[in-house]
Amino acid sequence: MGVMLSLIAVLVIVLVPLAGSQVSGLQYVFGVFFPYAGFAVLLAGFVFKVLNWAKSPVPFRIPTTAGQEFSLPWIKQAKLDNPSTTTGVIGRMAFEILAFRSLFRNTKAELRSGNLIYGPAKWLWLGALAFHWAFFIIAVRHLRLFVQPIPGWVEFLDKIDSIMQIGTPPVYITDVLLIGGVTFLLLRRLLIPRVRYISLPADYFPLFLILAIGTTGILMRFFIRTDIVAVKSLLVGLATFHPFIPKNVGAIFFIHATLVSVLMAYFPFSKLMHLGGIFLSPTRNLANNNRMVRHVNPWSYPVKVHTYDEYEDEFRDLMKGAGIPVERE
Amino acid sequence: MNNWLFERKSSISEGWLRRIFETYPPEAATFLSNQNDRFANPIGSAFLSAAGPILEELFGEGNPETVEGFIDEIIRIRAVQDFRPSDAVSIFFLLKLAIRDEMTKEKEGQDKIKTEDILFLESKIDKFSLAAFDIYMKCRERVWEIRFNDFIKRPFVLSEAAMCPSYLIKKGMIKDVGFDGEKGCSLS
Amino acid sequence: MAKDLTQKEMLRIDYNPPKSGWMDTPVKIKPGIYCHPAKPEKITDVGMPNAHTWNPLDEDWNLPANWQQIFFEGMRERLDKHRSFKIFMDICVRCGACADKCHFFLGSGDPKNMPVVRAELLRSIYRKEFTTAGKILGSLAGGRELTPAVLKELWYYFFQCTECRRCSLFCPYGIDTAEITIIGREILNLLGLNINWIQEPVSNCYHIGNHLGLKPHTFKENIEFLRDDIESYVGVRIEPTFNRKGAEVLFVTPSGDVFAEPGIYTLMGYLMLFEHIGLDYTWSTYASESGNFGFFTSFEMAKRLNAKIYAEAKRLGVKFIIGGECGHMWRVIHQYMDTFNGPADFLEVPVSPMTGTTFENARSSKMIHITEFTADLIKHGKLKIDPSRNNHMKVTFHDSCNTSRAMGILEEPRYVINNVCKHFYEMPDTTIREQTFCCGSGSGLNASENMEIRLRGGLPRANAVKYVHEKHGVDTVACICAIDRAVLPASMEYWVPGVKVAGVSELVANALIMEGEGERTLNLRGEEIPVTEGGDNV
Repeated sequence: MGVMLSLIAVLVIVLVPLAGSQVSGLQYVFGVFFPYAGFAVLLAGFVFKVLNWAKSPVPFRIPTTAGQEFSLPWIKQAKLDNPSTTTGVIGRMAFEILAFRSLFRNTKAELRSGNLIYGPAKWLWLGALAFHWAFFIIAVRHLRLFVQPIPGWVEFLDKIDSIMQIGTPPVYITDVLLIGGVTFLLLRRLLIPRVRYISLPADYFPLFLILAIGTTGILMRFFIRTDIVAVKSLLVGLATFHPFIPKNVGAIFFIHATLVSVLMAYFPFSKLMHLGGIFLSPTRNLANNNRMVRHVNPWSYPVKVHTYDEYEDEFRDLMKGAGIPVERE
Repeated sequence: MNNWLFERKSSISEGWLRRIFETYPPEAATFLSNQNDRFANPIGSAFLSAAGPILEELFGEGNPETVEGFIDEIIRIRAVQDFRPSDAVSIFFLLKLAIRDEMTKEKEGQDKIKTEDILFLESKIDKFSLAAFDIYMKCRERVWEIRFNDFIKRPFVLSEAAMCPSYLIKKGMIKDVGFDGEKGCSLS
Repeated sequence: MAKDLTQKEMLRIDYNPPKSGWMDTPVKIKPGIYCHPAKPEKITDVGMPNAHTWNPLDEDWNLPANWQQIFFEGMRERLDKHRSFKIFMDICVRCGACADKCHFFLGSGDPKNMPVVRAELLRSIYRKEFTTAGKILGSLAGGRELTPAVLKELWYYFFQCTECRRCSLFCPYGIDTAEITIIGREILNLLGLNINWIQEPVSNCYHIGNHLGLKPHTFKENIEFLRDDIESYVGVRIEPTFNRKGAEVLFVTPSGDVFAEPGIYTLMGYLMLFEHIGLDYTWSTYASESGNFGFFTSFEMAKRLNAKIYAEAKRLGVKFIIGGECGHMWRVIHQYMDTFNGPADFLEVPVSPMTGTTFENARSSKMIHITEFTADLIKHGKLKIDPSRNNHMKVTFHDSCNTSRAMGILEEPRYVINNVCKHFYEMPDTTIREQTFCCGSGSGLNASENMEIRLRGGLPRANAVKYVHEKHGVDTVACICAIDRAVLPASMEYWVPGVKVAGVSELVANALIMEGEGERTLNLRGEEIPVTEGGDNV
């Protein structure tokens, strides 16, 4: 059910601009209004969400320790997996965010013909990594369409990405990785029963959405060509806050733009916020120096305890009888 | 023993395991049958390693005592899982189904096997089923012994007669010790 | 062939479609899985709310009329107090990396034991009540109404999580199901829905000083019994002191080790070790519990119970504190104590009186782990050891969840074991150190009535022990956790008969050459030490 609903939702998002962009005047909605609105919601929503998280304090220091702690001088500490310093934490976070360290941990040992062989079960890690990096590079690469002149490093990135030189225009490696990655993540959800069991509409929807974005983008580059110069002038117009709709921009562009706008607007209200959350995750971004540096709980309040005096009052006779020293005879 | 079936041992074993795994929720079933690592999947790998030797013995001498350890591997796990007793020990009845699957898969299957062979095989399977039942009962008794030992090792609780069943029944916090058709005999 | 019964007709198991999603499949509470509810008086006498009598199998749990309001208010308060909780409610992408990491899922095959689903049970309510999308779209946005049936499900599954954090290790965002369970249980406690196995020790600990409810004289007598045992097995008379002012060190340990086998042998180990090195230390009958079942109730209760340790250290005027072998105790000591009840500015930075080593890693909390302390002693050659007395044992080491994933004390126990035992074998890499499997009964779930879930949860650990048992003949599981010592024997008895459980300090003491000792023919359990040729075997 979740799958069908999500798919239908995405199809609707495709069909609306497909039909709408034929109507003159409405192009402005899909090409200017939606992108601006989407971006505004993304920005405001993201900031709001992160501030909202940050509003809740971190009362306790609770890192998940994944290796030997800082201990006696002759015991080797796992400085990245169990950091006790800020540098260590930065290293740990970098590995976590850039290389998905925890997912990488998914090792397994296999019993093949009686011998234990430790092999990686790293498909999820690989698929996720390919997808996220590809998405990031594609997003950065799109800067080319928003600024004039194009910065040298963006050109360079573009060149590297199309280094395979297959076809005209050349195929981007990241396009292949993105579509491959999303497809893998989607198939995984559909085919592995335990992953299907945990999946909600909110899991399928972004996958379909991103798949649609990727597909329309590729279609635009290779099959349903549209006037790239016109597209660029539209986007530069958006970026410089002089929006206008040039002639010769095909419907495919408006579909692509609408899909991206929806993704941006959807982002802050969804699980996609894991992008921001990972930075704030208390089990990862804190040093395991609990016994070395006191962590202060901002909402700590005095609690009722059973004091020693109360204890001794209750048990004084028993204590004296057993020869245990007491404060007051 | 009938050669035709013996040659198809590994296929029968596969079908048998599939049927056993189908007694688990489907979300778990694929995991149990696909993940081969002994440590990442203790249930599945235990069943996998036990099925071969059990079939070997069944098609050979047919003496369940020889492979008691392997039957134990499977039953010991199922004895503490969410099964009714009958479902927990159903594995050899599922084997019958798996063998019939194999026979009906190919047309010649039914022709090549003599009725007397089938009857003999099924009797042997029955024998294994009874052995499985014995093991199941042994495991369940073991659980209760462990539970009881655990219970009496807790003097601080008993010192106040706190967890004594009669106290709890009086307080309405547990129901009577007795037989409940659905759950079996239990102190709930 | 004639018509035959299908598998479906034969068995009464039927998982075939149309099967509803997990949100709509009501929970069926079964005996053998849950623990008895808390006795109302044990809730009341520590001032916790909504104590009442109820039975998990009953339709009606006698909840207060405004239970939903209490639940939601409790949840809101905790969302505002814990960034962890708020973030973990928002960012899970349900990738499934945690799904097959939970010992309860691996041992039971129950899909609701996948950590992601355990958290989703609460997350679905969060979405429905606390997010705009959930309020409008309901189940489309993954939201779910909080009904009595859903509450029961929460209770059932939050008391089927041992807060071991293994899932959190594999989560790409560090989502920690333990944190969710801790807070989930805290909310359930607002409704008086705790289990007695946790609540009664909490009450005992608060009023009497320890989980077992050992009054001061009994506590002292028990330790003196063990002292007498040492005298008869080892031939050395030890005089432990209690509540002694002016001692250099306060020693605290879980009270389980004072009373029950095989923990008592570990405690005998502490007594002998301290005697051996001549440590100036004292026990306390007031702070006679370092474990903290309050931690399985609420953060507040954890703080209330934990307060005694610093208070007693201050009263007695000791320099620093040594803590015994325990898992969840060390989670609380390491990650919470200083925050709860510090700063401990009345104590000194721990320096080993024997070796002069400064324990830099306890600079602020001033409390060190017995295994750190022992490892340092061995490293500096301060212990006279005859490891051959342990030659008849083949030992493996079980890392406790808390000391490995909430602290990281991994090498120290291995170093100690390797120095006091000749035959040490590791279990497979994916089952030890930070990836260690839970004993199956942690976080207050070590009752007797839930034995079936305990055995299921214990299977992954036991299975790894079985592997080294078969391959190397391992017959002893060493551990540094009192809960392990209490529960692993049951798990071993069922899954790997013939394997016993011992604290690391027990192994140390067996190997210690005590001054003035008699001929050591018995170990701390009073069993003959098998004589092996030339003192060496295998």
